[in-house]
Amino acid sequence: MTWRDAIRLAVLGIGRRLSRAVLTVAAVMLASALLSSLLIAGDVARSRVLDQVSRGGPLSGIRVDAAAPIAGTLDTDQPSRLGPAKTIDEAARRQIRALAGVRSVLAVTVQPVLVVPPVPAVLASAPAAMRALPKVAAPKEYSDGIVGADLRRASDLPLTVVEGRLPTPGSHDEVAVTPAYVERLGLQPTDAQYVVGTEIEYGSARAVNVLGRRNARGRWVRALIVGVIAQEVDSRVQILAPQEAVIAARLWSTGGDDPRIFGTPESPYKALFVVAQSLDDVPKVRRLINEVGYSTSAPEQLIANVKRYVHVVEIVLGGIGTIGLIIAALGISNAMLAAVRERRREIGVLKAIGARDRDVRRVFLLEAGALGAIGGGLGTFFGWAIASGLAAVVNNYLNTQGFAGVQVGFPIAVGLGGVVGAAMLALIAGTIPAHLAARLPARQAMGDR
Amino acid sequence: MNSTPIHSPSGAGQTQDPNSTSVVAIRDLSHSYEIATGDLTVLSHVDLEIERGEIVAVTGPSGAGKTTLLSLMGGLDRVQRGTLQVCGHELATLSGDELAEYRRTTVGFVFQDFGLLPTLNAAENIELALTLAGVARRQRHRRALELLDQVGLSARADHRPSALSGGESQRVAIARALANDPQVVLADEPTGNLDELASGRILAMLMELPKDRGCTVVMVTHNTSIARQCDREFVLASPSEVVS
Repeated sequence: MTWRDAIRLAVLGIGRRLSRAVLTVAAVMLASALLSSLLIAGDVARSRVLDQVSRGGPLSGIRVDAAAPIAGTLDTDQPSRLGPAKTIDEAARRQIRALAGVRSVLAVTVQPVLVVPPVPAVLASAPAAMRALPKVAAPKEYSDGIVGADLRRASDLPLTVVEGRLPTPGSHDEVAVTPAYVERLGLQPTDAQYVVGTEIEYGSARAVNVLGRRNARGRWVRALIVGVIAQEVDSRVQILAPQEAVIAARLWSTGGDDPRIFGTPESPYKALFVVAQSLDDVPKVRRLINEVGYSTSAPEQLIANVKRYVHVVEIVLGGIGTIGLIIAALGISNAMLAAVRERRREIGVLKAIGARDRDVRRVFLLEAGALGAIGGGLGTFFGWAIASGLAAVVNNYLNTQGFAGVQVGFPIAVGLGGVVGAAMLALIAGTIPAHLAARLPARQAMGDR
Repeated sequence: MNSTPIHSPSGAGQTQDPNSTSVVAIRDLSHSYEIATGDLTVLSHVDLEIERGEIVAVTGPSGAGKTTLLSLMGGLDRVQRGTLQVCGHELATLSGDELAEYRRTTVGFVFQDFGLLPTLNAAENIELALTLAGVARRQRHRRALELLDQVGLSARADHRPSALSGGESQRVAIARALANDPQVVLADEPTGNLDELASGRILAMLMELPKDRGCTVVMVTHNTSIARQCDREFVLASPSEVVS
C-alpha cells in the first residue's frame, strides 16, 4: 500500500467517525492553544521586559557620554557619576566606530531652544474640558533642548513610540515629543493622542555684538508633532527631531559671537549610541571605549539577569502547556484504541484481502498524526488569538500608565512547533493503538470468536 | 453432485500423490482455541484434497469448525497441527508478510456479511484489493469497473455499501474477491444474509467461476440444497469428530 493510499484510507477513517474526530481534535486544539498562548505570552513578556530594560533600543546598546570615565564604573550598568566633560567630535566617533566588536555608532546632538507650544496646545477634537485647561488654553513658552539623531537607523536607538510615529528622517518640520511635554501641559499620558498633530515653534539663539551691545537673534522653526516617544534623553529635553534639523539649529547658534551664552555645548555630539555585535561583546566594547577616554553605560548585567529569569518563567509556562498537550495525547490514544476496538472486523477484512501488518499500522498512525496536526494547527492559531486578546487588555492598561504597548507577533517557531509537535505527540500516542491494530489476527475478518 | 464421501476420519496417514492436481491438500489438520476452561478443539485430524476447478461445499452443524477450516485455508489463521497446502503454498511455514501476499494473490474471500468497507463506494472497495496488490491507480479503476460490469453493477460503481441491497453488496464482494485473479475463492455462507432471489443469483455466479475463470471454490454453507449443487460436499460432523 502506498503512502497516498494509506493517507486516503486514514482520511476516510477520520471522516467516518467525524464526531469523535472533532472531539479529539478539540482536545488537542485546546491543549495546543494553551501551550502556544503561554509561549507567545512568555515571548512577548520577555521582549517587553528587555525592551523596557534597554529602553527600546538594541540589547547590546551602549551609551557613550561626552565625559571622561571614572575608575570603577566599568563594571556597573549605570555609572553614578561622570568624569570631566570631554568633547565627542567626529574624530572620536570614527575612532569608536573602528573598535573591535562595534556594529554601529549613532551620534546624538542636543541643542538648547526656546519652545513655543500652540494655542490651544491640543487638537480641536480634544474634549472641551481639556481645551479649557489653563496650560492648554494658554501655554507658556519655555526653555528646552531638542535632541537630534539619525532616524534612518531608528531601530538602533533606544526609542519607543507611544503615539503616532517618528519624524521623517531628514525632515526639518517634523518632531516627536516625550511624555514630559504632555505632562507640562497638565495632561495625562493617555491624552498624548490630542497633542499629535499640533504644531510647535522652537527657536535657537545666536549671540551678536552690535555696537558693543550684546543682542540675540533667533532662528525659528515651525514643526508638526507627529508622535510621542516614551524615552527622554535627559530631564530637560522633551523634543526629538531628525539630526539634520538639530545640526542646522546648532550651526545657527555656533555661528554667533559666543555660543556658550545660550548653553550650546562645545561638544558637537552630546552622546553616542554604540551597538555592539552581540550582548556578549558589550563588556569588551565598553572597556575599549573607556580606554579611548569616554564614560559608558549599558544595562548589560540587568539584561543578562532578566533573560535568565524570563527563561525560567518560559520553562515553567512551557511545562504547563506540555502537560496539557500530554493529556490531549492521552485523549488521542483513547480515541484510537476505541477505533481499533470498533474496527476489528474492518481491519480483519483489510488483512483478508492482503493488507500487511505495516499497512494497517501506517493507516492508524496517519489517522493519529492527522488528528494531532489538525488540532495542533488550529490550537496554535487560537493560542495566538488568545495571546493577542490578552495583549489588547495589557496594552489598554499600559497605555493608561503612559507606557508603550506590547506587540504580539506570530513566532514561526511556535507555529511550526505547535503543528509538528502536536503531530509527533499524536504519533507517539497512536503507536500503541496502531500496533494493536496491526497485530489483530486476520481471522477477525470472520468476526469475533 | 458427487455424493461420494471425499474424506474419511481415518484418513490420517494418507500421502499426497506427487502427480496430484490438488489445489488444496490438507493432512491431519487439527485446531483448537483457548477458552477460559481450557482448549476447545474445533478441528481434529482433518484430511481433505480439492482438485482444481472443483466446487466444494463445507457443511456441518454450528461449532463444527467450518469457518475455522476456511480461515486456515485462507491464511487468516495459523496452522497449529497437521499440514495445509494451497496451490503449492505450505501455509504453516509462511511468514506474516508471505501470508499477506498469499491472501492478496492466491485466494479471494467472500464473507457472509460482505465485508465491504462502509467509507468506500463499490468501485473503491474493489480497488482496495488492487491497491494492496500494487496495481497502478488508473489500471485498478479500469479493472474495478470491468469487474462491476461482470457482476452487473456497473451503474452502482459510485454507490456506498449503505446504498446497496444485500445481493448487490455480495456481488461487489465477489467482484472484489476476483480482483487479483485468485486461484481459490473461499466463501463463508455467501448467501446467508440474502433472500431467495439474491441467493440464487449469487450462487449462480459462484458456480460459474470454475468454468469462467478456472477458479476452485470452497463454500461454507448450512444450506443442504446449496451443498447439493456443488461438485462435492465435505461434512464436518462435530468439533471433535470429522465425518464425511
